[in-house]
Amino acid sequence: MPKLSLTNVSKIYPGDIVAVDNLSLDIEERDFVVLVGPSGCGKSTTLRMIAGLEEITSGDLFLDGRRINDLPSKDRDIAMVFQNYALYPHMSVYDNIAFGLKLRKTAKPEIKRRIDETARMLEIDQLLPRKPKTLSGGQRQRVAMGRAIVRKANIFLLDEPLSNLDAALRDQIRTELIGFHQKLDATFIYVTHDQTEAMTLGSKIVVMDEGVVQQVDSPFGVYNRPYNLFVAGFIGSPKMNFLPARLEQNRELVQAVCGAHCLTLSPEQSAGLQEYLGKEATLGVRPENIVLYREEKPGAWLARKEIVEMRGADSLVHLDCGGFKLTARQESSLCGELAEDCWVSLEGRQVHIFDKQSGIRL
Amino acid sequence: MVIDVKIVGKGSVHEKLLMGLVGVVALIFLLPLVVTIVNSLMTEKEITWNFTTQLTSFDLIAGIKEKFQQIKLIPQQVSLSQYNDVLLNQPAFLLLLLNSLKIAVPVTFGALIVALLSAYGFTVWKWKYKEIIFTVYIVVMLMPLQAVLVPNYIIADMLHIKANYLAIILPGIFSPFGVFLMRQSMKFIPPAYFEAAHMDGANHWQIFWRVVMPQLKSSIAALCMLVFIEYWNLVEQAVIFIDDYTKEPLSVFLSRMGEGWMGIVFSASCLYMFLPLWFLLLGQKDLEKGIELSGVK
Repeated sequence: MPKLSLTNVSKIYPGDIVAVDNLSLDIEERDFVVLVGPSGCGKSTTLRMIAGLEEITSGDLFLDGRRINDLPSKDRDIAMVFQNYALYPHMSVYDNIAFGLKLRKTAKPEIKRRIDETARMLEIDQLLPRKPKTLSGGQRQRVAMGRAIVRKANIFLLDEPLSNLDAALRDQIRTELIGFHQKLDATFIYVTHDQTEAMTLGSKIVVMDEGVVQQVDSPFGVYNRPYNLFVAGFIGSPKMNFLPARLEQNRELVQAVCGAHCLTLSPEQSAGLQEYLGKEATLGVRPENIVLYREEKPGAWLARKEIVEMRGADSLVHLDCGGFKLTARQESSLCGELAEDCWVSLEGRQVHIFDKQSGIRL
Repeated sequence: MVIDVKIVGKGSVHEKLLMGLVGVVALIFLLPLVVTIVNSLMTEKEITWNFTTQLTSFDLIAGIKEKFQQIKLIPQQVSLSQYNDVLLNQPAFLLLLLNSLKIAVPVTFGALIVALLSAYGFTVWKWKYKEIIFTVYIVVMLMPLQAVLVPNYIIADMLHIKANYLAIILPGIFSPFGVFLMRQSMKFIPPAYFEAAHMDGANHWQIFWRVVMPQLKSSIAALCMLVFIEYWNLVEQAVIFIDDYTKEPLSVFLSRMGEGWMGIVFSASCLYMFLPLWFLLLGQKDLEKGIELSGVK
């Protein structure tokens, strides 16, 4: 039995604005589920429905097999870390963490014991007497985490908790979050619009768009086997290159014809594409699956180098390939050797073919 | 009125002009206050001499044919005799001061309670017609006092509280201004605070008392000061509703004092001003912050 289960859950706001449309999702115990998608895709609304902060318009929400649609959020055994941390400015860090326990009439020595234990774990012991406004972003984030942890809830909801931090701190806290998840042995449901964050943190990723779940899979799955064009384009940075293509037979294999260029697909891919021969499709290839050559190679396409973005160890090379725009990721040390005109080879096994009409992976 | 002066450059002409302008404006605002304080330290004889335009037989002997009121900023002789007269020889003054407090204090506390609770309802609770009702509040707030005095009088008559302080206190307590000010301030509290408290198990009373109230200290102070000063200085409502002169507030009495009490009017005014001025100086920062938070500028 899943820990938390959403069955055909929808949220419709007045004016028939559909925020979440018929969402079904099972979350197992100790999962680290990341809801990811662009702004307005319904990920935060889903989280708030789980928290009990939004009413569910239709569908069912089960916690340990019990329907909890109408259960007040305080009785759901769920703790939440808010995007702006929601630390009460007039209370000290200690009082902020103790607030929930005091409301539940926990004995004072027990409150102190739990706060000390949590503060040690989060390394915020020194901050307990201080007010939130005297803390840095990272410290506030930890205190917010402490307020959730101290309740010893079974499920932690995190609503974009890293979005207010600078890049370096975000990386550090991200690693810490993974550690907390392992230490606490609890279920984490995390909302973010940052696909890198989702890929790093999640054991299960739920990609959403326009209130609809596009794919539920492991980070490896959403990256390497995107279900549709949206997932393929959203997951991965820089994003996947898309080229219009027509599928044709080339002896016993299938080839994708993109304008004047052809790409013969692998036998495994070809096997599943026989019924789509002669149809229009979209070919997707990730920047790291494009190989650049200085000289002509069999099957390689001629391209013109437009812009090179230096990113450190690797660089992004923006190319014009017979009217098609492509972005390739290349080792920075090799970029200097490239002339204005170069040759592009797509790794046949690593390309993705999508139906042109539905956008679904073929 | 808060004037932000940006220093353009040390000693620049622009800065000097700006400072000169600010100085002149400040002087205009301060002059009545200075005149009142200085005159309160003059003897009754000097006040009478300065402000009486009627000619006496001594004037006629001295050949003076016309007299004008004179505003002097330096007393001939500094004296506290006016204060002595007001506080010890005029028991009516203290009685009327008490009357003013009987109106201003209940209105201040009542308005604060009503404003806080209503603003919480308007901010936190989700209900269908709240925006429409709030708009009605704003419309009522924009109505001038004179426009609502007649309906207030009719309602007070219906409730048989016409010649009672309640006829002034009740409309003051339910004044929309407080609700507006508090709601605007509460809107600045991020909804996540309410939600976090709700998830922690707090009920509405606990959220109101332990989460909202401590964050509104400045706005509460600002509202208290504004309402207190407004009802401390009221004249129209008291003139209309209070028939018995022993029940009238000091503000009404002061406005009439010049008619026959010229000798003590300045000291009485100073004593009258003391309380609101003291509040204002004490809570100036809160007043500024509270008004800033409410977005009312």
